[in-house]
Amino acid sequence: MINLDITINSKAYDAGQSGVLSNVLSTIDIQVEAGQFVAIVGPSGAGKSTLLNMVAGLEASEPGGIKYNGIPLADQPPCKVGYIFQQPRLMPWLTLVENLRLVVPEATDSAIDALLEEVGLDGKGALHPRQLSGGMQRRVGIARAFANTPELLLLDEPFISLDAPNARRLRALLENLWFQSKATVIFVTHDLSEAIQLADRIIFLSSSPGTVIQDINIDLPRPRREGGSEELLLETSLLRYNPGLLEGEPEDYTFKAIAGGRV
Amino acid sequence: MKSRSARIVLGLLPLLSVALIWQLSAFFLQSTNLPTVTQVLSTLWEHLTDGDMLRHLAITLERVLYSFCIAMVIGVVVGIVMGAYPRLNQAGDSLLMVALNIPALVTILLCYIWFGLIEAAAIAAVAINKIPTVVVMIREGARVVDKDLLAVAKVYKLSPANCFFKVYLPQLYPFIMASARSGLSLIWKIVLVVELLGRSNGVGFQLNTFFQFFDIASILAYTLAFSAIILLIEGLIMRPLDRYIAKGVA
Repeated sequence: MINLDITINSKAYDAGQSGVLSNVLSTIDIQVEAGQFVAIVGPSGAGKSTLLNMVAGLEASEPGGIKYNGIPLADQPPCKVGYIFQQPRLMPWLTLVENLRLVVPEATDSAIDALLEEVGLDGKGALHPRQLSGGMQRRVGIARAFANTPELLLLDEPFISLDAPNARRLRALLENLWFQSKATVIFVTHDLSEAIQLADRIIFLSSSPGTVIQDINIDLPRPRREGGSEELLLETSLLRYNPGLLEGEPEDYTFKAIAGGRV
Repeated sequence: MKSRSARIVLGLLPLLSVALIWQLSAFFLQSTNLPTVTQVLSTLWEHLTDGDMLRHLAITLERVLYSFCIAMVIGVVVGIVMGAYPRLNQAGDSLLMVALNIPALVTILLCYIWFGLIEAAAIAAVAINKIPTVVVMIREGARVVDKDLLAVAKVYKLSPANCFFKVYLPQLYPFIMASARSGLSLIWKIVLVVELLGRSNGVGFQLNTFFQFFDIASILAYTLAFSAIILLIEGLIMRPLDRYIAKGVA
């Protein structure tokens, strides 16, 4: 398992040819314990995906800005990272089995079959991604992320644009697989109830350039339920005391301790 | 199966009607410059049975194959590199434009002059003519490679070989197919010119001989024979490859 140190002073993108840099992220300083499930909630454009990509090493970060187990990303010995993207990002020219085998070349046939069965796609291994529905493709994406038993799991709004029953099913699947693997998880979402349902800890980002405006632990017992009374209570009280929280407006810093959550 | 035979009929119908029009006009014109279809077919049969048409066809086909493979491999590699590195692309662009527009005849003559009237010069001349068009097409493909899928490869720490052959290259397959297809037709035309100018065998050499004797029936017979071979390659190799590639890519 992996603990994370994320230190970002700023992160800017070149906005077009003009050479003008636009800031996506400002100061961010987050420590994540090994095995913790952290949700990052923020409005769109807050740089959530950028932050995730920096943690994954897909986006450049300052030297030593991202550390796994105290070791900077650049000096990192190979470690197992799973990434579930907003889009499933499967290779369209490979079958499901080949897609999974791509990330775990040494896996046995039965291990791959077991993995497909776990996400409810048994017997579909010879199909190509385009022969599946969007929800099924996402399940393959989830299976792929867990295929190499990741120590660190990154999720970028993986259930966006899914219908409610499918999203519920996949959330349960994710929680279940995470219980088994006990990976450290960073889960980016803009859906507060989803975050409350899944996470040990929620970090709220401001609107662009993103910075941490709130960091709370969720102590509600598991298994949690979507729309459960305690979950709802936490959600409504969070929003009552911090009306601008989801819009990323940090004007109200007087966060109050409330049922099930603590600062 | 029914739809397949219907497709074959639909493909053959225009060819047959052209043959019919040709036959009728040749029959009515009664000109020595335009032999009838039946005359051409019987000439074709003669060349096949007692001439050495098959040998010349095989020699030409071999030259086509070699120069095709050389042009494709070099063109794909250069195209990928140019597509991947914008700096190199800018630097090489003008050179590529010049190479694209050098007449085939010039390359052929220069190759023969510099390297002599040898087989290697002939094949090099043909390949050089084709490489720039392959580069241009593959470069376009390499420019639009999906960075999201490459990010997947990076996160999951795929081996370089896996990343290239299973993530990167499949995205270029449609572009490689397109250039292979246009390449085949271009190459066999240039191979004939090369043979005409500096080889003592092959279809191009034979055509030149027939030209000396105004043997129009033989010229047409050779053209028919080679067209048939190209159609066969298209049907037996290119189409199945197309289907194989289209399987994954929607």
